Amino acid sequence: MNPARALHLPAYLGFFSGQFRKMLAYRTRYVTGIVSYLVYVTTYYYLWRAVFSHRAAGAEVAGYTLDQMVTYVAISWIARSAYFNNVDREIAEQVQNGSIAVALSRPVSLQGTVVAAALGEGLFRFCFFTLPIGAVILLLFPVGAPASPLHAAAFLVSCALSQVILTHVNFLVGMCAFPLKNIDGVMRMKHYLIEILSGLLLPVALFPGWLQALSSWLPFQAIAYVPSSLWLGHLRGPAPAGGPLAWLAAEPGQLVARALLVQLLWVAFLAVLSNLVWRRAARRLVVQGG
Amino acid sequence: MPAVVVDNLVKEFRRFQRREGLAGAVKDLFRRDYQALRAVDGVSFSIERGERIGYIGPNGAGKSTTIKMLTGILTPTSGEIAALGLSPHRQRKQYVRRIGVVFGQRTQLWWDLAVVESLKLLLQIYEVPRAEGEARLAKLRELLALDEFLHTPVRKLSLGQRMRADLAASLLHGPELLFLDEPTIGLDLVAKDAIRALLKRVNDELGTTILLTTHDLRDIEALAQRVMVIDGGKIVYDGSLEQLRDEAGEEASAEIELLEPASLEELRRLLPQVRFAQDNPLRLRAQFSKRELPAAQLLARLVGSLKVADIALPEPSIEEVIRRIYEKTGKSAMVAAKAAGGGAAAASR
Repeated sequence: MNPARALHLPAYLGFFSGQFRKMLAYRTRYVTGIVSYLVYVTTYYYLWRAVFSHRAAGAEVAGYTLDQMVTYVAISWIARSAYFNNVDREIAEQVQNGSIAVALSRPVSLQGTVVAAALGEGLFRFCFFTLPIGAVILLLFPVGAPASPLHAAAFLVSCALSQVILTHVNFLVGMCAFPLKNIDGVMRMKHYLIEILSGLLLPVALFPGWLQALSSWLPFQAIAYVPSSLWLGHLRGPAPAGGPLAWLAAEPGQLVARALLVQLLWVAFLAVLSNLVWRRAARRLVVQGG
Repeated sequence: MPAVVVDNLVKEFRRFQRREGLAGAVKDLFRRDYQALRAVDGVSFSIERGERIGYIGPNGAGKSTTIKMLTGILTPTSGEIAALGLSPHRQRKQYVRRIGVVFGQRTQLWWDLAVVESLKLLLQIYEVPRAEGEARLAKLRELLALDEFLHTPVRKLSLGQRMRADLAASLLHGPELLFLDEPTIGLDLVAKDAIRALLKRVNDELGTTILLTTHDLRDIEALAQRVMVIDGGKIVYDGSLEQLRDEAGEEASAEIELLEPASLEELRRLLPQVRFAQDNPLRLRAQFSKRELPAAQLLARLVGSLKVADIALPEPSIEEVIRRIYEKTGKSAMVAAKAAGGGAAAASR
């Protein structure tokens, strides 16, 4: 049997394409989002300018020059505009209003459906959100080019992996809605955890040593820190080079491979964990309403 | 072999019992009491291929919970379901490929996409071979008269149109079983009639076995060859509609209009088997059992002793029939079951 058929890829492609088209119906909603991303990048741009203002030209903070720091911030936010999603909130809503029943009446796994739809959303965001945001930010701020074509290619792959990692983190948070029903608090906690520990607001290399060590064993740094570091070619330092694969290699090509491998391992781990959690949740499922 | 066999099905939910007052709220923080609720309490039945079954009961009787277990969405607490030779919750993906599900209050279509786009996505999701899918879509377009809104986004459809589109969505993959949970809820009378007629055609022409829950007993009258009544999580009636009527039909009522007032005491002495009630001095209602007193005899006695203007013997409505069944079983709404073994229901965690 054809392996694509055996995995029901055409079915999941349906959810991918359905979500893409659904987002397309709401594309004007994203115009305002461009402004908020611009505000974030502007804020952090001036913040880092202020931090570096009393230092000599070319000085480094935790291994970053001002130019690199500005690039890191801009690229991190541009990447976020593509990989971000609200899978957790969507699952919680479906559990709360009972429409989860419809999702379960389909001959596919909920997890696969959620991931496929999130990827469809990712493609939409990339085309209609990231490209305009990226163009505006690149025009307004002195963003450095990727370290090399290899790093540029690795960055794109890495963003896609970030998306799958975040989707699974959100899926797991969404699963909390089965026992808890209301997960606003959990979602808010996750939001701040990700903002900080992913390295979106601050490169992980600036964290105190113990937090760097801790975050190299958590999936969050694989969401923002890894792709942005790939763009910069900034793969030395403890994380993401530390953690599970710290023993592996030191050449640039190998460092790139290692960064992607770290992400892949997180994808695999979170996918398996999500599956286990879902199986447990399904057994205890209570569908609300008529 | 029956299409569905349900054996001693039970679904228990746990409900957190809040204590009263501030002291109770503090106590709740440390020790939670749960009450076990048996939404479905030992239900057994079987369904033959091609049947049209109405599944009715008051709110909270366990209808939707049963349907959700039959469609593989909920895991039973105990008991077995064998549907199309599969176990719905254990072999969910394999099973739902062969059934259709309609939830009256939710849509399975993409809210923002045109109907035809949603339907084509569903063909893809169910991996229906192209030629087969197109043929079935053409058939359903004709059967459900979809063409007038085929290119309209689902959010802009009227409720009746949406239900037709949802019905199409549930039939696209050629299911052998079709489960409908409140398919006519919220529809106007014309749309209800249309949906009933369509379901009948689906059953006749496609041979699809249909089980539907409803609050609207006219759905049952128009559609069901067989009725199952659930109350308090238990099946209290399972049989044909006619038999249901006959059974309850022993209880009859008469409406009597008089030319001259009559005294109730006198009537009660004359016909002690009959329960009389007086709307006004010239209007009486009588309730009686046909077994104890044939209607003809009642009429003769009344006409013989009173000045009667008119007597009507209305057929009991199905609502009335169902109400009597509920009264007979002496239960309604969800019954709090004692935890297994009959001990205290409280459990702490």
